Amino acid sequence: MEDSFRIGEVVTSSTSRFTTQCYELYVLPPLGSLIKTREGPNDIFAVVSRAETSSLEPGRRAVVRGQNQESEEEIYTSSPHLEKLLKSEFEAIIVGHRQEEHILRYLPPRPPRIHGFVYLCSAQEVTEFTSSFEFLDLLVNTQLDIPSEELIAACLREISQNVEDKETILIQAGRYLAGILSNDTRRLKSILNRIRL
Amino acid sequence: MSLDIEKLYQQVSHFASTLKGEAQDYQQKLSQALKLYNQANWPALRHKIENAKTSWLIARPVEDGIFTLPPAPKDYTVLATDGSHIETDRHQSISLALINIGRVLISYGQKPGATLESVPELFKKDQLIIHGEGQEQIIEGTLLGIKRTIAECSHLADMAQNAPDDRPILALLDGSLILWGLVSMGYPDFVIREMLDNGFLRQLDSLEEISRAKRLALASYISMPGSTEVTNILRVALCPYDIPDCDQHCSRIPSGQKPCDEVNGLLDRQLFLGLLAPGQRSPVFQSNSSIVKKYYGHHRVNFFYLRLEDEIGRVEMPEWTAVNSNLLELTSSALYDQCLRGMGYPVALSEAHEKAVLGAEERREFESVLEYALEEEGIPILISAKKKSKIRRWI
Repeated sequence: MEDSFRIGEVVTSSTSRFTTQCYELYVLPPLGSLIKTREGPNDIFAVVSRAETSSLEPGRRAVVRGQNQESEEEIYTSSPHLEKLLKSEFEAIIVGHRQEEHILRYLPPRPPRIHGFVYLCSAQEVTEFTSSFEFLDLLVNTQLDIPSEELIAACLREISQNVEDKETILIQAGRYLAGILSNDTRRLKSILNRIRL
Repeated sequence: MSLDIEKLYQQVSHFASTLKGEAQDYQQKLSQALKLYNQANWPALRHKIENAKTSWLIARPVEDGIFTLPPAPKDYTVLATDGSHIETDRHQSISLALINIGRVLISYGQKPGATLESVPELFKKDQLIIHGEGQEQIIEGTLLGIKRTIAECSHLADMAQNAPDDRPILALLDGSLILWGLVSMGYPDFVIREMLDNGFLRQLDSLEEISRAKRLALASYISMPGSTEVTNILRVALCPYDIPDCDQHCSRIPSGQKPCDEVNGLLDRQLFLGLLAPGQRSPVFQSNSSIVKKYYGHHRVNFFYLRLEDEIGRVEMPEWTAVNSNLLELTSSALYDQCLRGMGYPVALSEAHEKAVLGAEERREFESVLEYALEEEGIPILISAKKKSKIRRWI
């Protein structure tokens, strides 16, 4: 996916998280990747924490169709309307915002607006945002339906894809986490085990 | 809870026991009907039908035999529309109607694609009146349903006009092409003319016009049809008189003892379930209904029955589709393909229904949007006490 790629629109929004419906079915950002939207003059940054593809209409669900098809792709080409009946959505945890030129790694004053455009962050934006790891405090303390260690590790893996010196950034992040999780080494170990140097 | 299940159960139980007896009667009628159909002398029977004066509707057979459907074209486009409507009732002060049309286009084969959309249209009181012969007719109830059917057909023509012509097109409507409601409710002639000549038939004219430039067939599909026009042919076959005339010969014979009662009550779909294998169709028949004969002209309705795995569907076409062997083949094969893709019901019609349907939630939303808009304009909303009592259910 190219830099600053517009991927969808906000469909539910709150102070700490928002949900985005993708423009294209299955074109979902990876778990842990950094995305952004805008609220007034502010950019709002968030980390993808959960994704789901389901029926557009509540109460309708998919049924098996491929018994006589050669490939999964054939199911979609032989029923072209399927793509219009399904939607891909993802949830993202807000980890910071930009007010004027300042990147602030805490919650913005107001949540994003419904229908706000949502973009994948460019490599430059990722580098800029992750020049400090304070945003990890928000992820460590967020209630999710997956273990937050999974999300933090996925986020660090995604960030490291963006930089040349992968090792350095992961060591810096590891040190930061060691500081905030000094009294919970089990969680710290669980995160570090999920990051390969 | 307003339904007393205990009291109801006794009635349901009695009803079920009577059905058992009816099933035996049905088997007898069915085997008699199958025998008559298979042994019929069709040329002689056609002649007898032409002269028959019956109190019931008889189809006119156009073809002979049973047809195994060819495979559907690899590349084809199906268009379908369906509609739903809401009318504000007399318990509300504002007179309005909302017609919501679901429109579906699906292209198969090379360059597959789909468009699914819904188009709502609001009609004010003055748009819901037909003027003629110094009289006025308000469009409500059955007539509003017919107005909706005209809108479905108009949207279908619009889609057909814009559909790419690189592949054959099957345009589908749900239900019958015969607007039965117009005759059954006894509307004056100016109403029938307005709804047919300036409405439904005009849209059929447009579709026929498009079919001259593009390979386009028009059909409507009826699932679980309740018609008896073909089994009524067998009643004519059973009639001992050379020229059947119900009033003259049999008006004094009690029901159940007439010579033709041996197959009376059997539905066409029950007959064809015994005659057709999955993937086969019946011959084409012509409708002899009075409304079709009087008003439809070259759009005269023809139909055949289609055998699916567990069901018989009825497919109606205007004559210009039925008499063109290419279009007839496209209609039958593509419709069967649609049913296979849609688990027994044409997938395009099923999606058009999904886009059109106005459920309780949409109805509430419509009412609240309406109330909001009226409030914004400072127009008072008057609702009758009866309606209010249904909204607020107090003890």
